[in-house]
Amino acid sequence: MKKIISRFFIFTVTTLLFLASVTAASACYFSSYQPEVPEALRK
Amino acid sequence: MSYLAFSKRWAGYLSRKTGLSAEQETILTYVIEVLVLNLMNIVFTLLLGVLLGVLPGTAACLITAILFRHSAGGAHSSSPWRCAAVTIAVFPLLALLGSFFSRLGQGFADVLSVGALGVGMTTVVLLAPVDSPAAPIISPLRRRKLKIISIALMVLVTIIVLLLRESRWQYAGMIQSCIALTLLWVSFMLTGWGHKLMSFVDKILKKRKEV
Repeated sequence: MKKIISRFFIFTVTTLLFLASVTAASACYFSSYQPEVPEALRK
Repeated sequence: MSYLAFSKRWAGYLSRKTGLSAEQETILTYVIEVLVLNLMNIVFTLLLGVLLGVLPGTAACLITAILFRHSAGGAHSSSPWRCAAVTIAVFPLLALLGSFFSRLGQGFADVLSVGALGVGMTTVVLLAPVDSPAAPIISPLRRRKLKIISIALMVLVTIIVLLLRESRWQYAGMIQSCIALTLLWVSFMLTGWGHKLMSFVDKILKKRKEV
């Protein structure tokens, strides 16, 4: 059970980091508030 | 970097569970904030659309705005809550207006669409992409790519408007007007006037909070 939960967390984090790199390529998002983009994503 | 408390807490929790570096945790905080705020804005905008009885129009406005903001960018608010207030109010109102205009006949919808497509193409060619200090577009290559995508989207929207014009679907006229009005709004947000409006909204709501 612990292994499954651990894999779930790793999957969630990997998906979110992938989404971050994909979305960083856009000019902005739908809403008119833009949080500060981390330096690592600006490159 | 300043992020909201909930995104820091969620990212911290996930980071502890998976042993991420500090840099990756910051990226996680950023993406959680972006996803949650955008999702909240979309849900509440659609809910107001349902309450006002203009859900299809509101959805059309949202899809058009999402398509263009992604590549063309535009003016931003300095607070997520003021941004939410503007977003949740504007799109259902545009849908209401679109619903009203669609009752004025096909001729009016056509004039509105041609005007909006003309204004949209001009602002996109001249101004897009418009970035913000929080998310600057550093690479000239990326800037060029975003401009090309914005122009391609304008062509796509023109085709969709033409198809809607010929369609017999009951909502076609209303959605045509909603797309045209959203194009005008998104184009306005690319201009200096749009930036002035957002900073004006920021000032009004800030003052009210301080009082």
